Amino acid sequence: MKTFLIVFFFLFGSTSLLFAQSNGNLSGTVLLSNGEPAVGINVIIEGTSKGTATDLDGKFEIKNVTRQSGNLILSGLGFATTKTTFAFKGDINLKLSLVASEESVQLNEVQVQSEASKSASRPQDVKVIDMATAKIKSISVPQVINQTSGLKVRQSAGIGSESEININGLQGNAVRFFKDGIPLDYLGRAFNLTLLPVDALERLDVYKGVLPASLGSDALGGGVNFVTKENPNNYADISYQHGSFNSHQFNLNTHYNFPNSKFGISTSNYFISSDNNYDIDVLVADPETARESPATVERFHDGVTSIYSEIKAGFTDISFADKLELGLNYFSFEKELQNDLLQTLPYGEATFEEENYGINLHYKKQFNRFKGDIFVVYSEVNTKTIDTTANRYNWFGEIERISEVGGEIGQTKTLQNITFKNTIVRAYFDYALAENHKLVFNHVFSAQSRLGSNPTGNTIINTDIDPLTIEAIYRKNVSGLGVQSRLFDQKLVNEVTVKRFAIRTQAVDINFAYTGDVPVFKTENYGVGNSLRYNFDTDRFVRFTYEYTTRIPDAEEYFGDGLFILGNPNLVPERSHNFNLGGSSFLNNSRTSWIDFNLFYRDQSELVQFIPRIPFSTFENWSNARVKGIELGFRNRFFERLASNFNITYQDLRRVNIENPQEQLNEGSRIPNIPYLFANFNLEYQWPDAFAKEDRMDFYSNLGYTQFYYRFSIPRELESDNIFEKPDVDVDRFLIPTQFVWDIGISYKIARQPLWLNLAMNNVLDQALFDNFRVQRPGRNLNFKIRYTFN
Amino acid sequence: MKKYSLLVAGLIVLFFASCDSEDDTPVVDPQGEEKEEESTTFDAQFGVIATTDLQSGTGFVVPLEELPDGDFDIASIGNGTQVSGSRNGGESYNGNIYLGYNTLGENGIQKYSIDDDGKLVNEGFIVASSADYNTNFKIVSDTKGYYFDAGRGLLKIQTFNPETMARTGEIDLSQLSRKDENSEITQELAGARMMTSKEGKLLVDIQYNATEFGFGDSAIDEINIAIIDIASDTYEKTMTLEGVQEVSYYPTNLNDYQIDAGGTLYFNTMGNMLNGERNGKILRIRAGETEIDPDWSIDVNDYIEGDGIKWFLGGAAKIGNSIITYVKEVPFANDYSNFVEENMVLYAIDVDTKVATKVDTAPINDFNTINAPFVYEGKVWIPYSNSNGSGYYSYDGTSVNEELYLSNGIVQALFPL
Repeated sequence: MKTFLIVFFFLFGSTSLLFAQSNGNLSGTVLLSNGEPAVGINVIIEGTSKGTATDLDGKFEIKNVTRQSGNLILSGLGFATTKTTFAFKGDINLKLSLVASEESVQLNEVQVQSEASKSASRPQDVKVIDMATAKIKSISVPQVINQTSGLKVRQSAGIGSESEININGLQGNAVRFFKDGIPLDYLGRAFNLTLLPVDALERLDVYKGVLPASLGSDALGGGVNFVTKENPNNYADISYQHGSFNSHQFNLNTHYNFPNSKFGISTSNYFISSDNNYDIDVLVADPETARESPATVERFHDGVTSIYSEIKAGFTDISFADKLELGLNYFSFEKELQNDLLQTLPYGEATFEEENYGINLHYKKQFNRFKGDIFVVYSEVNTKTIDTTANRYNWFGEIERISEVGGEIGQTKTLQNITFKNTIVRAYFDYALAENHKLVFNHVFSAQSRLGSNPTGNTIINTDIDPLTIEAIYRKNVSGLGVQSRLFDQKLVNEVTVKRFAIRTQAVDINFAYTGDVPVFKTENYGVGNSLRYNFDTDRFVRFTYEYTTRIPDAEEYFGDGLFILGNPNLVPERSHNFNLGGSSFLNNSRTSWIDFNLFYRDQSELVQFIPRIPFSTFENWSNARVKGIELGFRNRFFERLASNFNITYQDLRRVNIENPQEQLNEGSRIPNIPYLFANFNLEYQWPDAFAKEDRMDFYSNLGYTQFYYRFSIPRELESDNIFEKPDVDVDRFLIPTQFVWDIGISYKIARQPLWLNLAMNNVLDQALFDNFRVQRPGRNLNFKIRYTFN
Repeated sequence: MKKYSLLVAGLIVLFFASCDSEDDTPVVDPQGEEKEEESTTFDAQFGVIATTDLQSGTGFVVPLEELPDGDFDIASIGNGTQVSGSRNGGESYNGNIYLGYNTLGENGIQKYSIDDDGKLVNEGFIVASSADYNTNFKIVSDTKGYYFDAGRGLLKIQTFNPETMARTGEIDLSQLSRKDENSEITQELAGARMMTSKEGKLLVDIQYNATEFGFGDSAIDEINIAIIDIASDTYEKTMTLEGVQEVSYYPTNLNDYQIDAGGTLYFNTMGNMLNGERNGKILRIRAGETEIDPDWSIDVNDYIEGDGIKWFLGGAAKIGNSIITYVKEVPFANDYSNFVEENMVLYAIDVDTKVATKVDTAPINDFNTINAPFVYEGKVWIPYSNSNGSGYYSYDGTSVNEELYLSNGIVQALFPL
């Protein structure tokens, strides 16, 4: 059962009429965050006996409201009592909403429309992942995302490991990340999916196709917007989680408004540490015979410690600004490095550290039809990679030998310090052209410089120059222009978007006659998209989106690394045509069963890939790909307390139109290392007043399934027609096995206290779970969480 | 409500119907093939390794009963084993296949036998780490082989038993270190590139490098080849020749060192691969000799005009009185950006007159195959890859014959079984 209620109030009639009259009608629909109607919720005007209950469609109407403002109280079995203000301000067709938390009685300001519901009702294919439920669980962001159709988080190990998200088959550079609409680069690894606690987020907006004009980046096929809490009321949200592998997680999020002022301060903080010392299955070489034999060992050098802190202070609703806020952020990250990409080689001393600082300013103002939103940030991200030991470890954590060659990771020893300086300016404006048409303009300027050193590393060929000591600069300008239209009584929503991407980049190449000249490269490109959504009613819709988009290669792809990767100035931007067709509807009149579907098709060309060559490798526009896929989701509610959610995704990613005659055997072959069939079955049971009045107990279970997929490329002709059958080659080590993961948990809310306790067991069946390139993830593990929220 | 359900169902059917229409590629029926193969005993004659995916380096190792006529589809043969790192090639010994890497492309020595169905059977893997793309090794008898393992020591040669596939010991060559006498030297390696046997002796190259970069950055203008007695595993001496640099640049698969019918070892040197100040030469050690022939060499500068980085591809295959080698018609660009180009031409170079004769009927090579010409049963086998395909030709000194052709994939090794 969802723990958030999203309530939409559709107030009909002329506001002027409301003002002219002393009585008005208050009506609306109460929905759960998953789109289901909230049935039987009591809606009462505080201090009066006026009220009603929502019907089967979640609708209610209170007639002859004499007050021009007041509080509405919502209550019902299984839901926390929630209070919100309402006001007839003279607006026509005023739409009101509130977000209510189940943990406590919260007073929320009435807003024009909640941001979450706005995102969910966008014409773009956006999956709004509400973190409210997750916050009362011992659950990670990847676990939450992996329960969503069409999405897979790919991680290289446990907490703090490298990760990326796969959206409808695309991952890596094709997907761009944002925090509250701002490209995320300035925060370094602070919002790494395997690190970030759910408590730091209000929700995740995952765009599966078209990115709206307001998100300025050159994503090839999707984006993730991390949305943090923006609450104008005083609150504090504290949680602590402790679990297997000596994992600790502490979160503190607060907001405080100074009395009798429009000044407030917010903080968001997390601390995370883990040993990540879970068992894995490896092959261990005998020190004498060098023959391998299987062994189960404990990861011994994979610890992580991380601190994130953000403070924002500012004014709201002052004469010249709706919001004027100054923010500071700090992040530190220390990570031991355990193994290579394929988990075949253990490291015992190599480490990675990151520390970053940032300062930002945020200004928002609405003038009648015009709205402006400016965000400026400057940050420094300092990274340090240390790989200088001569010791070579075995999987038992013992020093097996001393090596004269390089470090544990690299061919040469590494003592690499790099500072990235980031400046981002985001300027967003919209203008209401007419009642139902809005013009949106968004511009993002981002500049990143890289400067560092690696005194133990290689130098530019035929010189003594460390390539990291030469500053690399990457500047990007992304402009988006869009028109949003809501027609036919809001039934038809359309947004057309045009974007321009331009870069100027300057970095050192492998230059055999280096004289100090640092090559410069400039290019620009355009993209266009349209998103169309038709709402049959408040509960059913279909949506079609199309986008032609490009991704400009990164600096390293153009210039190489100055060492072993050769630059390639002939690269052209990647291109993709993305089509999505989706919809949602109830399946029965009582609206307890729902279906969501999404079909997607992507035609991608000029994909940039790393091509190993001798003696120098390079990035090339290497392949074209076609992605077809389908996501299906079924949601059910039984007896009001039990909810189920089943979803399944099949995505067919294949190389197509191969031009190189020597590669023809790969025509139509699956793109390796990406799952193509996966499903989730989720059950949640909510038991209010379990042991005492106003306590609550939640039980939940999630069963995840991932069909085996390919670790390396396998020719199409060796595949079976049956997708459940393995290809016809001796490929055991070429496959990442079929996996089931079962997670369960129980949460308990103390009676009349905003205090939640949670106990969760992940991977109950203790299955061997694998991810990127078959690197193993944790077995069965137990976590406990306590969370306290107050206003 | 029903109509929306039908709409969704219809869309799904339509969508995958369109998928199916493009998915009509015939698929090998593994069940059928297995039944067919059960009744036969596979008589392996050749092994072929080809790269099918240049990006990941994956490809196939396949035993063959005979070299097929026409276009050979290496993926559909049914008894292939897919490997990552296929461009590193492989070789055979006593009917078994040995690779310098395993299925995942990791360094070490992988042994496969061949079962009655012609499929490879894993017979063991010796783990090694290397300064190169794969592990350099040499099998000298049924129970003895040598290999290079950077992790165990750069100036050490490891020994192993090919029968049991277990490491058996090591030979310490640390006495060959010259760091004390030359401060330019930062890295010393023994047997990383050349490892071959001649007249009961193991010959291994000794690199004295200025950096850890690993390519053509010799700190001294000479080559060194150590001689080790195979019977006693003891170091005997080092052969040295000045004015040349870098013996081979890749373990084993480039066929940069071969012994001709008369017992003379021909080998290829690269020179300084980073600035062209010293270019490639082919050298030799005559039969019965333990010194590099100081009076004989074939200099690549005599065959490629202009300044730049120049070296032969192969250069050690000799039949009759000629060295059969590829010559890149233009020098390598300083950054090797023209590494893969269809401009490698096969020449026969007379070892006495040094006159080079273009073998017109041989295919042009683009260097996507790392394999180089080698001698087998009196003929030179010539691997190639270009925009028309890849495969092997044979050359007997007079005529060129196509032996194997792949329209898909790039050959990386061919060996008898």
